[in-house]
Amino acid sequence: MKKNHFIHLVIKDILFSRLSYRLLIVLLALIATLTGLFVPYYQKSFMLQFDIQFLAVCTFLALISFLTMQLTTYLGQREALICQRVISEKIYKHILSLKALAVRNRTVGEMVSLYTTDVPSATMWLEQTIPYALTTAFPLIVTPFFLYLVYDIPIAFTASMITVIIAVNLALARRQSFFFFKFKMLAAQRMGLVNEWIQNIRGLKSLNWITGFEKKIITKRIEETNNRIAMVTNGQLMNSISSSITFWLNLFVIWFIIYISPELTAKIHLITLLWVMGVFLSRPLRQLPWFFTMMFDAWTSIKRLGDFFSLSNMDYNIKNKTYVADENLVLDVKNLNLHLDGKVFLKNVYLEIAKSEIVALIGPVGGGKSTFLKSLMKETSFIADSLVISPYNFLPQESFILSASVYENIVFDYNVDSQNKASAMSALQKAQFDLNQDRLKNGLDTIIGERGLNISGGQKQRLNLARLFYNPKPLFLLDDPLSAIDVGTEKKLIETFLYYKSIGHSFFVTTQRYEFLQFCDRIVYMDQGEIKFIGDYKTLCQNQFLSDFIKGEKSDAQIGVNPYV
Amino acid sequence: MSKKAFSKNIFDTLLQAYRPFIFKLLIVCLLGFIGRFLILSNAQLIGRFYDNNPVVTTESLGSLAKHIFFILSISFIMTVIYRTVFSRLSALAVSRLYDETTYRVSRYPLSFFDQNPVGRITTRFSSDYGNIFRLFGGPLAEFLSILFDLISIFILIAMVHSYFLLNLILASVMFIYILKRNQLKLRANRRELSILRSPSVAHFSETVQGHLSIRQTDKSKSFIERFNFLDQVFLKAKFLVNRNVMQFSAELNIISALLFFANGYLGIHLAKTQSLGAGQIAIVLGFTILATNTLQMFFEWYSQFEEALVGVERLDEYLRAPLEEGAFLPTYADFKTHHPQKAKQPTAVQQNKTDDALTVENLSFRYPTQNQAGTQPLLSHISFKLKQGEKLGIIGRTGAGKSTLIAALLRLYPIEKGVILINNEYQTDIENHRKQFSLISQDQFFIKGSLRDNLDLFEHYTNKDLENCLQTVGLRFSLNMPIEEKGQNLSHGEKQLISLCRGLLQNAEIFIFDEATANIDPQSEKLIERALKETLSTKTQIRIAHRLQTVQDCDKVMWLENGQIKKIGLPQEVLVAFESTR
Repeated sequence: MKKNHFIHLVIKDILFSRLSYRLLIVLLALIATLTGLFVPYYQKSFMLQFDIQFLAVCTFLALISFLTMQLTTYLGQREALICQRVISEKIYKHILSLKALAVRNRTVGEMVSLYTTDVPSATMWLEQTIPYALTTAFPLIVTPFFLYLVYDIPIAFTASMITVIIAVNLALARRQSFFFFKFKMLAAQRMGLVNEWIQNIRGLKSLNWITGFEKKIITKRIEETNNRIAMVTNGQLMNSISSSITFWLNLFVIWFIIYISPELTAKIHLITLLWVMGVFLSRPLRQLPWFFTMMFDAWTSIKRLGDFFSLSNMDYNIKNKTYVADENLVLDVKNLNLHLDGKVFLKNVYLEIAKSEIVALIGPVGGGKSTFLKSLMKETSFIADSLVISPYNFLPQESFILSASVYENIVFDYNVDSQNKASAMSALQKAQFDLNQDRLKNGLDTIIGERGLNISGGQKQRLNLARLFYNPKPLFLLDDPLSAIDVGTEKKLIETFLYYKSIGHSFFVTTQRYEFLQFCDRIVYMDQGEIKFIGDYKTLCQNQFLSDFIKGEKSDAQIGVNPYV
Repeated sequence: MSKKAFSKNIFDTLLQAYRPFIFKLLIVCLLGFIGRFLILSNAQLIGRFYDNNPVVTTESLGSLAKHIFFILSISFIMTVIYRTVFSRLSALAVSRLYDETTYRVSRYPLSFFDQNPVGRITTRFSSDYGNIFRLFGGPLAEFLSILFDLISIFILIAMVHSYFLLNLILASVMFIYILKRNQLKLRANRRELSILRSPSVAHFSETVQGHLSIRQTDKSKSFIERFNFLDQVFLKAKFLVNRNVMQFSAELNIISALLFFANGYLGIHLAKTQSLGAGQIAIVLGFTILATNTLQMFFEWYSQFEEALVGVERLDEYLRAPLEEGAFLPTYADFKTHHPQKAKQPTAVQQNKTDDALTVENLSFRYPTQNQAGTQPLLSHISFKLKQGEKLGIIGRTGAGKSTLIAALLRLYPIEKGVILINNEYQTDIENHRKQFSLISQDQFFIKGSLRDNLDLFEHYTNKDLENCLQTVGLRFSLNMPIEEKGQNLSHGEKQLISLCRGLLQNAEIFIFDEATANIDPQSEKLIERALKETLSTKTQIRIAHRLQTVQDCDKVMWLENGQIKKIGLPQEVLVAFESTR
């Protein structure tokens, strides 16, 4: 679908949902402006007669105008918050539904900034643009007519003055929003460096790279500051103009009277003129540049949101959906292929895994192992003749930890009752995670993750395994489960695998730990998206190429053509 | 939580940040004040003109226009100069805070980073600094300009008639009362809001990273509920802040309207008794409205500056915390915070190459976090000596203290007892100490970028140097090869080889090889084995082994158990003894 369609959807959420409230904002802004306009009218009467009644009316109108303006802003803010909630939830759901391939090329930081930056800035249209549009635009539109009706000052003259002011403000605001955009980008880049710096401080200290890395951060900081300085200079120019423009307007009107229409001299009432230019227009003109800046800024955010919502998954295609696999099999995939952007990722893959079987998947880095696992979970846009898979547990290559208690991390859910703590403990034990030895003082209730205790890579990996053992399914799909685990623990973990095998579970495991292969029933070798070998450990050792491969020697031997077929 | 007063330190810190610019700032402030006063006095000019010229003629109007034009032009130029120069200097000044904090945090003890979650540290550099920078950059000039306006208006109204001063003072008292009443409430609201922000953001970012796992385990519904809950809590707090700000503003508006009425009433009285002109009264009323608008803006900014001062306070805390032992601030650090600093002219480091590369004497060590007396130190009474080019193997079971020994040798944590000498010298400066070591490990630091960035982040070496080095260790990679975040596209062995390269480049004396998990692809394993035996044959080595064959060709082997040396000696003897206990 077109990107524009999604941008329209975002705009619709912002402007047209809860329409009655949105219209109420408009109405209130109108009342504020109109009552504001009557203040000078009565003030003029007060000036001529010094009557306290007129003063009271003036005061009352001014107060009403202030308060309704306040109410407008308040309502705008409230609607903006409601709208933020709605859009945030949509983003969140969309992220959960998007598969890895749809979001590649986007970093975690970019996605987070959609929520933290773009949502609040997109709803600026509700919070500021609509209320201010009226309170800014209305006086600007009314003024030329007022001056014409009362003093015969031609509409064309005042209108063109106001047009010039608007044009100047627009140009400055456009520039300002450009700086602002760049500022956000630079700040995000600098924070990327800061995160790297803190997370790797141990490595940096032992490498003695502290000073160098500091310089890298500070170079970025200087770039950010320079942009910021250009931005404040532009902004301050904008402010200087907007906070003195009313006096210039006064001057221009006086000049107009002197040089162009001297016949108006007798008619003019200087005080009212002063009021209109100096007080009535002062607030709208001060707001004008910021109004435009916010508007532009909101627009870039809305575009980014629309762009994100337009991302969609490409579907997989299983030709024979009704195919029934042998009931002794936990996995049966026939002729699986994956092409993307003209590149072949997986080619003619056939594989069966039986109950109580441990199958290893090996091959060179980048040979398609992880992509194959993801395809089995229907996370890619593959095409296959058939794919039947039993319920499974999956261990990702990059361990994933919630910022929550150890217990919640194992159950992988929030606000869980504590009745399953015993099974959580046993899952931890099976994953070789010892709360005491791993220095978690509060046991299962220890808070870990981004906002809690930092735990090591090995600890994370074992905790992820515990998550699987807490609720074991017939098939375990494990992507490099032994990568961060020390030798002693590895042996015990393999024992856990063998235990699960003995009670009927199956394993499909990618690994670079070739000592593990002797515990596997079969080994699959995959290169360039193709399965080139399937067999047991003994057969593998007999193949010169593969035995060289697992010993790490450059082999001159050939693997042979599909020896498993 | 709601501390009333800010500590004195933060004003000292701000002063240090602004120190290089203070003189210029004072001058432009003066310009700014004069400029604003002149601009506002335009209204006075028109008012007086109105009262003095009952019949307006083109000539009199012309002379008025000339006056206005003259004053306006001068004051406009002055305010533009004030605003831009002030903002630019102020932005430069506060960014000094950032740099100085960075210099210090880099040199904090490692235990600080163990005890504080990453997020807690980085917020100082993101939102706290962001707040300070945002407000002290442009808005401070605006804030001061508003202050200039208020003072000018005060003076200009008082110039019309001194009775008006009374009204103004009365109104000011009421304004301040309302401010005080709302201030604490708003401050508490804002603090709460900033606390509630991070849980929802952290949850969101976790979901982005783990969406696959969440989807695959059918937990989407529960996670959406969680997110909605956290987001709602945050938005409710934000709503509360908005509501309180609105209430605050409404109170201010009511006072403003009263002031308007009072000044109008006083105007009527003065017009009748002292024949004050209508023009003058119009000026007063105009200024009254202007003053209320301005005052409103003043208070809005005021509460935001409070937020920024909280940020300064938080950075200040980091500016004054102690550094790790042996750390010196760089020569270009400028703030005076009682931290040791490097000498401007470095004394020539004499490299007396002695025969003893490394001497460790009676070393005891424990992590600062487990400082309870009575517990046994993680390392105790470790003594050994390595001659130039000698190779020491270290073996022991998990938890015996092998990794801890690395941390101690690099002085990553303070050492409890004992001493580590390099070339029979104790290096006071921790950087000089660490320079002598090269740690080869898979847990080293990798960043997203090219291989070149990862080898030579600071561009000290030529491409040729780097290529030669890669060739020496046997890696057939191009320097442009992209490396992903945390080196995810590298195997563990490749990571070790790259860290070996780094050590060779920095020409370290002592190579520590940490065989952390033995999880190495066989190709790299071969290369590392070769490097240890051939490339590093003349270097002093310490090999921490998981597999015993790693240490078989060492000159001596140390067997660690419970943080103590169980046995040290020739490889055959120690290995045999170790094997027999298995």
